[in-house]
Amino acid sequence: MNFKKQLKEGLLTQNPVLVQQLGMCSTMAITTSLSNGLGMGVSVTIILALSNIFISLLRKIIPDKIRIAAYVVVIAGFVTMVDLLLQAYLQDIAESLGVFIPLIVVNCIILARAEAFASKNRVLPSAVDGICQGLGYTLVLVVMSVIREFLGSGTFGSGVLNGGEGIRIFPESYGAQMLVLPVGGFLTLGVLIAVVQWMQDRSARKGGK
Amino acid sequence: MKWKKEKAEAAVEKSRRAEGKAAKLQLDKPYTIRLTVTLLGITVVTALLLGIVNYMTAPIIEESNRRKTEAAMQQVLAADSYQSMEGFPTEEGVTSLSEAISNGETVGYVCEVTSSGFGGEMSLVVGVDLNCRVTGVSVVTHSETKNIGTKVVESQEVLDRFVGLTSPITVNSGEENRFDAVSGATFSSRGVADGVNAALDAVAATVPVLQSAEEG
Repeated sequence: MNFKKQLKEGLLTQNPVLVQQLGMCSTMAITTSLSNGLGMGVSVTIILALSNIFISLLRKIIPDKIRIAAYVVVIAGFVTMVDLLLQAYLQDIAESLGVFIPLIVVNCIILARAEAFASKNRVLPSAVDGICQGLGYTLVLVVMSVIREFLGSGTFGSGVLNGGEGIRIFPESYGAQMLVLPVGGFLTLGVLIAVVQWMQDRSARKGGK
Repeated sequence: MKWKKEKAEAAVEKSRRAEGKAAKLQLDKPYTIRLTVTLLGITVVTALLLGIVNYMTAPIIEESNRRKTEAAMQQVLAADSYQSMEGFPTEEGVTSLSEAISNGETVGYVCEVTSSGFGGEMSLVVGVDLNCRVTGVSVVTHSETKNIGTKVVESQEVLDRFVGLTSPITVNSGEENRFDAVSGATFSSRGVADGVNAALDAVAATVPVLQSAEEG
Protein backbone atom coordinates (compact mmCIF):
# COMPACT_ATOMS: atom_id res chain seq x y z
CA MET A 1 0.00 0.00 0.00
CA ASN A 2 1.47 3.27 -1.08
CA PHE A 3 -0.27 6.18 0.55
CA LYS A 4 1.20 8.80 -1.74
CA LYS A 5 0.20 6.85 -4.81
CA GLN A 6 -3.32 6.30 -3.57
CA LEU A 7 -3.64 9.97 -2.69
CA LYS A 8 -2.47 11.06 -6.13
CA GLU A 9 -4.87 8.61 -7.72
CA GLY A 10 -7.79 9.72 -5.60
CA LEU A 11 -7.19 13.40 -6.19
CA LEU A 12 -6.17 13.37 -9.80
CA THR A 13 -5.34 10.40 -11.98
CA GLN A 14 -8.24 8.24 -10.78
CA ASN A 15 -10.45 11.03 -9.54
CA PRO A 16 -13.88 9.47 -8.95
CA VAL A 17 -15.83 12.27 -10.62
CA LEU A 18 -13.55 13.66 -13.30
CA VAL A 19 -11.81 10.48 -14.45
CA GLN A 20 -13.95 7.54 -13.35
CA GLN A 21 -17.04 9.67 -13.92
CA LEU A 22 -18.97 8.36 -10.94
CA GLY A 23 -21.26 10.22 -8.57
CA MET A 24 -21.91 12.96 -11.09
CA CYS A 25 -25.55 13.56 -10.19
CA SER A 26 -24.81 14.65 -6.66
CA THR A 27 -21.82 16.67 -7.83
CA MET A 28 -23.94 18.74 -10.18
CA ALA A 29 -26.87 19.11 -7.84
CA ILE A 30 -25.12 20.08 -4.64
CA THR A 31 -22.39 22.47 -5.74
CA THR A 32 -24.26 25.75 -5.49
CA SER A 33 -22.50 27.01 -2.40
CA LEU A 34 -19.28 26.29 -0.57
CA SER A 35 -20.93 24.98 2.58
CA ASN A 36 -23.02 22.52 0.59
CA GLY A 37 -19.99 21.28 -1.30
CA LEU A 38 -17.84 20.88 1.80
CA GLY A 39 -20.60 19.29 3.86
CA MET A 40 -21.45 16.75 1.20
CA GLY A 41 -17.80 16.00 0.45
CA VAL A 42 -16.97 15.34 4.09
CA SER A 43 -20.08 13.19 4.59
CA VAL A 44 -19.32 11.06 1.53
CA THR A 45 -15.66 10.69 2.58
CA ILE A 46 -16.66 9.43 6.02
CA ILE A 47 -19.19 6.98 4.64
CA LEU A 48 -16.80 5.84 1.93
CA ALA A 49 -14.05 5.12 4.47
CA LEU A 50 -16.41 3.34 6.87
CA SER A 51 -18.07 1.22 4.23
CA ASN A 52 -14.72 0.31 2.66
CA ILE A 53 -13.44 -0.79 6.08
CA PHE A 54 -16.43 -2.97 6.81
CA ILE A 55 -16.70 -4.47 3.37
CA SER A 56 -13.00 -5.27 3.46
CA LEU A 57 -13.45 -6.92 6.88
CA LEU A 58 -16.31 -8.98 5.49
CA ARG A 59 -14.77 -9.71 2.12
CA LYS A 60 -13.96 -13.33 2.91
CA ILE A 61 -17.42 -13.95 4.34
CA ILE A 62 -19.63 -12.41 1.67
CA PRO A 63 -20.31 -14.97 -1.05
CA ASP A 64 -19.81 -13.74 -4.55
CA LYS A 65 -23.41 -14.25 -5.68
CA ILE A 66 -24.96 -11.91 -3.12
CA ARG A 67 -22.18 -9.37 -2.85
CA ILE A 68 -24.10 -6.46 -4.35
CA ALA A 69 -27.03 -7.00 -2.01
CA ALA A 70 -24.65 -7.21 0.94
CA TYR A 71 -22.78 -4.04 -0.07
CA VAL A 72 -26.02 -2.11 -0.45
CA VAL A 73 -27.19 -3.19 3.02
CA VAL A 74 -23.92 -2.06 4.60
CA ILE A 75 -23.83 1.23 2.68
CA ALA A 76 -27.49 2.03 3.34
CA GLY A 77 -26.97 1.27 7.01
CA PHE A 78 -24.04 3.65 7.32
CA VAL A 79 -25.74 6.41 5.36
CA THR A 80 -28.80 6.23 7.58
CA MET A 81 -26.63 6.37 10.69
CA VAL A 82 -24.74 9.41 9.40
CA ASP A 83 -28.06 11.02 8.46
CA LEU A 84 -29.47 10.53 11.96
CA LEU A 85 -26.28 11.75 13.63
CA LEU A 86 -26.21 14.85 11.43
CA GLN A 87 -29.84 15.63 12.19
CA ALA A 88 -29.19 15.30 15.89
CA TYR A 89 -25.86 17.09 16.27
CA LEU A 90 -25.33 19.26 13.17
CA GLN A 91 -28.81 20.42 12.17
CA ASP A 92 -27.70 23.24 9.88
CA ILE A 93 -25.67 20.99 7.66
CA ALA A 94 -28.41 18.37 7.72
CA GLU A 95 -30.89 20.99 6.53
CA SER A 96 -28.83 22.30 3.63
CA LEU A 97 -27.91 18.84 2.44
CA GLY A 98 -31.53 17.77 2.88
CA VAL A 99 -32.48 14.96 0.58
CA PHE A 100 -28.94 14.44 -0.70
CA ILE A 101 -27.77 12.54 2.35
CA PRO A 102 -30.10 9.58 1.77
CA LEU A 103 -29.12 9.78 -1.89
CA ILE A 104 -25.53 8.91 -0.95
CA VAL A 105 -26.78 5.31 -0.76
CA VAL A 106 -26.96 5.21 -4.54
CA ASN A 107 -23.85 7.31 -5.04
CA CYS A 108 -21.98 5.16 -7.51
CA ILE A 109 -18.61 6.00 -6.04
CA ILE A 110 -19.28 4.03 -2.87
CA LEU A 111 -20.55 0.92 -4.59
CA ALA A 112 -17.80 1.13 -7.20
CA ARG A 113 -15.00 1.36 -4.63
CA ALA A 114 -16.53 -1.47 -2.64
CA GLU A 115 -16.56 -3.65 -5.71
CA ALA A 116 -13.26 -2.54 -7.23
CA PHE A 117 -11.12 -2.19 -4.15
CA ALA A 118 -12.51 -3.02 -0.72
CA SER A 119 -13.69 -6.48 -1.69
CA LYS A 120 -10.20 -7.39 -2.88
CA ASN A 121 -7.86 -5.69 -0.44
CA ARG A 122 -7.04 -5.65 3.24
CA VAL A 123 -8.64 -3.29 5.69
CA LEU A 124 -6.00 -0.59 6.00
CA PRO A 125 -5.48 -0.07 2.25
CA SER A 126 -9.24 -0.07 1.82
CA ALA A 127 -9.67 2.58 4.46
CA VAL A 128 -6.96 4.69 2.84
CA ASP A 129 -8.58 4.19 -0.54
CA GLY A 130 -11.90 5.35 0.85
CA ILE A 131 -10.35 8.48 2.31
CA CYS A 132 -8.34 9.32 -0.82
CA GLN A 133 -11.26 8.81 -3.18
CA GLY A 134 -13.44 10.80 -0.82
CA LEU A 135 -10.88 13.61 -0.81
CA GLY A 136 -10.85 13.57 -4.61
CA TYR A 137 -14.63 13.86 -4.62
CA THR A 138 -14.53 16.68 -2.07
CA LEU A 139 -11.90 18.49 -4.11
CA VAL A 140 -14.13 18.43 -7.17
CA LEU A 141 -17.13 19.57 -5.13
CA VAL A 142 -15.22 22.48 -3.62
CA VAL A 143 -13.78 23.61 -6.97
CA MET A 144 -17.18 23.43 -8.64
CA SER A 145 -18.93 25.17 -5.75
CA VAL A 146 -16.45 28.02 -5.79
CA ILE A 147 -16.71 28.47 -9.58
CA ARG A 148 -20.49 28.26 -9.76
CA GLU A 149 -21.05 30.42 -6.73
CA PHE A 150 -18.59 33.08 -7.81
CA LEU A 151 -19.68 33.38 -11.42
CA GLY A 152 -23.32 32.68 -10.69
CA SER A 153 -24.10 34.86 -7.71
CA GLY A 154 -20.96 36.85 -7.08
CA THR A 155 -20.10 35.54 -3.62
CA PHE A 156 -17.36 33.38 -2.19
CA GLY A 157 -17.78 31.07 0.73
CA SER A 158 -21.52 31.16 1.06
CA GLY A 159 -22.65 29.34 4.18
CA VAL A 160 -19.16 29.26 5.64
CA LEU A 161 -17.64 32.73 5.65
CA ASN A 162 -19.02 36.03 6.78
CA GLY A 163 -21.63 34.50 9.04
CA GLY A 164 -23.22 32.47 6.28
CA GLU A 165 -23.49 35.24 3.75
CA GLY A 166 -20.16 34.75 2.03
CA ILE A 167 -17.85 37.48 0.83
CA ARG A 168 -19.55 39.41 -1.92
CA ILE A 169 -17.19 39.98 -4.82
CA PHE A 170 -19.54 41.64 -7.23
CA PRO A 171 -23.22 42.56 -7.10
CA GLU A 172 -25.63 39.74 -7.59
CA SER A 173 -27.27 41.22 -10.66
CA TYR A 174 -24.02 40.82 -12.60
CA GLY A 175 -23.90 37.10 -11.98
CA ALA A 176 -24.78 34.47 -14.57
CA GLN A 177 -27.63 32.98 -12.59
CA MET A 178 -27.81 30.08 -15.01
CA LEU A 179 -24.67 28.69 -13.38
CA VAL A 180 -26.40 27.98 -10.08
CA LEU A 181 -29.15 26.11 -11.88
CA PRO A 182 -28.76 22.48 -13.05
CA VAL A 183 -27.66 23.72 -16.50
CA GLY A 184 -24.67 25.36 -14.91
CA GLY A 185 -23.83 22.13 -13.11
CA PHE A 186 -23.58 20.24 -16.39
CA LEU A 187 -21.55 22.98 -18.04
CA THR A 188 -19.08 23.40 -15.19
CA LEU A 189 -18.58 19.67 -14.77
CA GLY A 190 -18.07 19.25 -18.50
CA VAL A 191 -15.42 21.93 -18.59
CA LEU A 192 -13.63 20.46 -15.56
CA ILE A 193 -13.58 16.98 -17.11
CA ALA A 194 -12.20 18.45 -20.33
CA VAL A 195 -9.42 20.22 -18.40
CA VAL A 196 -8.40 17.05 -16.56
CA GLN A 197 -8.47 15.02 -19.79
CA TRP A 198 -6.23 17.59 -21.42
CA MET A 199 -3.82 17.47 -18.47
CA GLN A 200 -3.69 13.68 -18.61
CA ASP A 201 -3.17 13.66 -22.38
CA ARG A 202 -0.33 16.12 -22.04
CA SER A 203 1.44 14.13 -19.32
CA ALA A 204 0.92 10.91 -21.29
CA ARG A 205 2.50 12.47 -24.38
CA LYS A 206 5.39 13.80 -22.31
CA GLY A 207 5.86 10.39 -20.70
CA GLY A 208 5.69 8.66 -24.08
CA LYS A 209 8.53 10.79 -25.39
CA MET B 1 -47.86 -22.42 -43.04
CA LYS B 2 -44.14 -23.03 -43.15
CA TRP B 3 -43.30 -20.05 -40.89
CA LYS B 4 -45.69 -21.39 -38.25
CA LYS B 5 -43.76 -24.63 -38.13
CA GLU B 6 -40.44 -22.75 -37.88
CA LYS B 7 -41.82 -20.69 -35.02
CA ALA B 8 -42.91 -23.80 -33.13
CA GLU B 9 -39.51 -25.40 -33.60
CA ALA B 10 -37.76 -22.28 -32.35
CA ALA B 11 -39.93 -22.29 -29.23
CA VAL B 12 -39.06 -25.91 -28.44
CA GLU B 13 -35.36 -25.21 -28.94
CA LYS B 14 -35.59 -22.18 -26.62
CA SER B 15 -37.25 -24.13 -23.81
CA ARG B 16 -34.69 -26.90 -24.15
CA ARG B 17 -31.86 -24.39 -23.82
CA ALA B 18 -33.46 -22.81 -20.78
CA GLU B 19 -33.75 -26.19 -19.10
CA GLY B 20 -30.07 -26.81 -19.70
CA LYS B 21 -29.19 -23.43 -18.24
CA ALA B 22 -31.28 -24.06 -15.13
CA ALA B 23 -29.56 -27.38 -14.61
CA LYS B 24 -26.14 -25.69 -14.73
CA LEU B 25 -27.18 -22.98 -12.29
CA GLN B 26 -28.48 -25.52 -9.81
CA LEU B 27 -27.31 -24.45 -6.37
CA ASP B 28 -26.69 -27.18 -3.89
CA LYS B 29 -28.34 -26.87 -0.53
CA PRO B 30 -25.38 -26.02 1.70
CA TYR B 31 -24.35 -23.17 -0.58
CA THR B 32 -27.86 -21.75 -0.65
CA ILE B 33 -28.03 -21.93 3.12
CA ARG B 34 -24.69 -20.16 3.37
CA LEU B 35 -25.93 -17.39 1.07
CA THR B 36 -29.08 -16.92 3.08
CA VAL B 37 -27.44 -17.01 6.49
CA THR B 38 -24.69 -14.58 5.52
CA LEU B 39 -27.05 -12.04 4.07
CA LEU B 40 -29.36 -12.44 7.05
CA GLY B 41 -26.46 -11.99 9.43
CA ILE B 42 -25.25 -8.81 7.73
CA THR B 43 -28.77 -7.41 7.67
CA VAL B 44 -29.42 -8.21 11.33
CA VAL B 45 -26.17 -6.61 12.51
CA THR B 46 -26.81 -3.50 10.40
CA ALA B 47 -30.35 -3.27 11.73
CA LEU B 48 -29.10 -3.59 15.31
CA LEU B 49 -26.57 -0.82 14.85
CA LEU B 50 -29.19 1.36 13.22
CA GLY B 51 -31.55 0.70 16.09
CA ILE B 52 -28.93 1.83 18.57
CA VAL B 53 -28.12 5.03 16.69
CA ASN B 54 -31.81 5.77 16.26
CA TYR B 55 -32.44 5.21 19.96
CA MET B 56 -29.66 7.66 20.79
CA THR B 57 -30.62 10.36 18.34
CA ALA B 58 -34.42 10.25 18.16
CA PRO B 59 -35.05 12.20 21.37
CA ILE B 60 -32.49 14.82 20.39
CA ILE B 61 -34.00 15.26 16.95
CA GLU B 62 -37.50 15.47 18.35
CA GLU B 63 -36.45 18.02 20.95
CA SER B 64 -34.70 20.22 18.41
CA ASN B 65 -37.73 20.09 16.11
CA ARG B 66 -39.99 21.01 18.98
CA ARG B 67 -37.77 23.93 19.92
CA LYS B 68 -37.62 25.14 16.34
CA THR B 69 -41.39 25.07 16.04
CA GLU B 70 -41.90 26.84 19.33
CA ALA B 71 -39.39 29.53 18.39
CA ALA B 72 -41.31 30.01 15.15
CA MET B 73 -44.57 30.28 17.07
CA GLN B 74 -43.12 32.90 19.36
CA GLN B 75 -41.96 34.82 16.34
CA VAL B 76 -45.29 34.89 14.50
CA LEU B 77 -47.49 35.49 17.52
CA ALA B 78 -45.75 36.03 20.85
CA ALA B 79 -47.56 34.56 23.81
CA ASP B 80 -46.99 33.01 27.22
CA SER B 81 -48.15 29.59 26.17
CA TYR B 82 -49.69 27.67 23.35
CA GLN B 83 -52.43 25.17 23.85
CA SER B 84 -53.00 22.59 21.22
CA MET B 85 -56.51 22.34 19.84
CA GLU B 86 -58.35 19.50 18.18
CA GLY B 87 -60.93 19.11 15.50
CA PHE B 88 -59.41 21.32 12.82
CA PRO B 89 -59.76 20.45 9.13
CA THR B 90 -56.72 18.66 7.78
CA GLU B 91 -57.40 18.49 4.04
CA GLU B 92 -55.37 21.53 3.16
CA GLY B 93 -52.18 20.46 4.92
CA VAL B 94 -52.77 21.87 8.38
CA THR B 95 -50.90 19.72 10.88
CA SER B 96 -51.62 21.51 14.12
CA LEU B 97 -53.62 24.35 15.56
CA SER B 98 -52.89 25.97 18.89
CA GLU B 99 -54.42 28.69 20.96
CA ALA B 100 -51.99 31.41 21.93
CA ILE B 101 -52.62 32.47 25.51
CA SER B 102 -51.17 35.46 27.33
CA ASN B 103 -52.17 36.49 30.82
CA GLY B 104 -54.92 33.89 30.81
CA GLU B 105 -56.56 35.25 27.67
CA THR B 106 -56.58 34.00 24.12
CA VAL B 107 -54.72 36.46 21.95
CA GLY B 108 -54.87 34.49 18.75
CA TYR B 109 -54.06 31.21 17.09
CA VAL B 110 -50.96 29.57 15.73
CA CYS B 111 -51.11 27.05 12.94
CA GLU B 112 -48.58 24.60 11.54
CA VAL B 113 -49.13 23.94 7.84
CA THR B 114 -47.35 22.02 5.14
CA SER B 115 -47.60 23.15 1.54
CA SER B 116 -45.85 22.47 -1.75
CA GLY B 117 -43.17 24.80 -2.96
CA PHE B 118 -40.92 24.49 -5.97
CA GLY B 119 -38.47 22.02 -4.49
CA GLY B 120 -40.91 20.00 -2.47
CA GLU B 121 -42.77 20.24 0.79
CA MET B 122 -42.29 23.17 3.08
CA SER B 123 -43.63 23.59 6.57
CA LEU B 124 -44.85 26.93 7.83
CA VAL B 125 -46.01 28.38 11.09
CA VAL B 126 -48.72 31.01 10.69
CA GLY B 127 -50.05 33.31 13.39
CA VAL B 128 -53.67 34.45 13.15
CA ASP B 129 -55.23 37.07 15.36
CA LEU B 130 -58.78 37.26 16.69
CA ASN B 131 -59.95 39.07 13.57
CA CYS B 132 -58.74 36.22 11.42
CA ARG B 133 -55.86 38.27 10.08
CA VAL B 134 -52.29 37.09 9.69
CA THR B 135 -49.90 38.21 12.41
CA GLY B 136 -46.82 36.55 11.04
CA VAL B 137 -45.45 33.78 8.84
CA SER B 138 -42.37 31.70 9.47
CA VAL B 139 -40.97 29.01 7.20
CA VAL B 140 -39.53 26.23 9.34
CA THR B 141 -38.34 23.77 6.72
CA HIS B 142 -38.16 23.97 2.96
CA SER B 143 -36.27 22.71 -0.06
CA GLU B 144 -36.41 25.79 -2.26
CA THR B 145 -33.62 26.70 -4.64
CA LYS B 146 -30.93 28.90 -3.19
CA ASN B 147 -31.09 32.53 -4.37
CA ILE B 148 -34.36 31.90 -6.18
CA GLY B 149 -37.00 30.33 -3.98
CA THR B 150 -35.08 31.35 -0.89
CA LYS B 151 -35.82 34.95 -1.81
CA VAL B 152 -39.33 34.18 -0.60
CA VAL B 153 -38.98 31.59 2.12
CA GLU B 154 -35.85 32.93 3.78
CA SER B 155 -36.72 36.60 3.55
CA GLN B 156 -38.53 37.92 6.59
CA GLU B 157 -39.25 41.07 4.64
CA VAL B 158 -41.22 39.14 2.03
CA LEU B 159 -42.98 36.94 4.58
CA ASP B 160 -43.99 40.03 6.55
CA ARG B 161 -46.01 41.15 3.55
CA PHE B 162 -48.61 38.62 4.63
CA VAL B 163 -49.23 40.40 7.90
CA GLY B 164 -52.71 41.90 8.12
CA LEU B 165 -54.11 39.94 5.21
CA THR B 166 -57.08 37.66 5.56
CA SER B 167 -58.53 34.79 3.59
CA PRO B 168 -58.66 34.42 0.60
CA ILE B 169 -55.20 35.70 -0.25
CA THR B 170 -54.72 35.95 -3.99
CA VAL B 171 -51.34 35.97 -5.66
CA ASN B 172 -50.68 38.64 -8.29
CA SER B 173 -54.37 39.41 -8.68
CA GLY B 174 -57.23 41.10 -6.91
CA GLU B 175 -57.25 44.17 -4.77
CA GLU B 176 -57.86 43.24 -1.17
CA ASN B 177 -55.66 40.54 0.35
CA ARG B 178 -53.29 40.61 -2.57
CA PHE B 179 -49.82 39.16 -2.34
CA ASP B 180 -47.38 40.01 -5.08
CA ALA B 181 -45.13 37.07 -5.86
CA VAL B 182 -41.37 37.61 -5.94
CA SER B 183 -40.47 37.72 -9.61
CA GLY B 184 -38.79 34.51 -10.73
CA ALA B 185 -40.02 32.67 -7.65
CA THR B 186 -43.71 32.27 -8.37
CA PHE B 187 -43.95 28.65 -7.29
CA SER B 188 -42.35 29.36 -3.96
CA SER B 189 -44.54 32.43 -3.48
CA ARG B 190 -47.68 30.47 -4.28
CA GLY B 191 -46.57 27.69 -1.96
CA VAL B 192 -46.32 30.06 0.97
CA ALA B 193 -49.62 31.77 0.04
CA ASP B 194 -51.37 28.41 -0.15
CA GLY B 195 -50.09 27.51 3.28
CA VAL B 196 -51.22 30.81 4.76
CA ASN B 197 -54.66 30.47 3.21
CA ALA B 198 -54.98 26.95 4.59
CA ALA B 199 -54.07 28.22 8.03
CA LEU B 200 -56.63 31.04 7.86
CA ASP B 201 -59.33 28.67 6.69
CA ALA B 202 -58.53 26.16 9.41
CA VAL B 203 -58.71 28.80 12.12
CA ALA B 204 -61.98 30.15 10.74
CA ALA B 205 -63.46 26.68 10.54
CA THR B 206 -62.48 25.66 14.05
CA VAL B 207 -63.12 28.75 16.08
CA PRO B 208 -66.84 29.56 16.01
CA VAL B 209 -66.41 33.14 17.14
CA LEU B 210 -64.20 33.88 14.18
CA GLN B 211 -66.66 32.37 11.75
CA SER B 212 -69.19 35.07 12.48
CA ALA B 213 -66.48 37.72 12.38
CA GLU B 214 -65.57 36.54 8.88
CA GLU B 215 -69.13 36.65 7.68
CA GLY B 216 -69.50 40.10 9.14
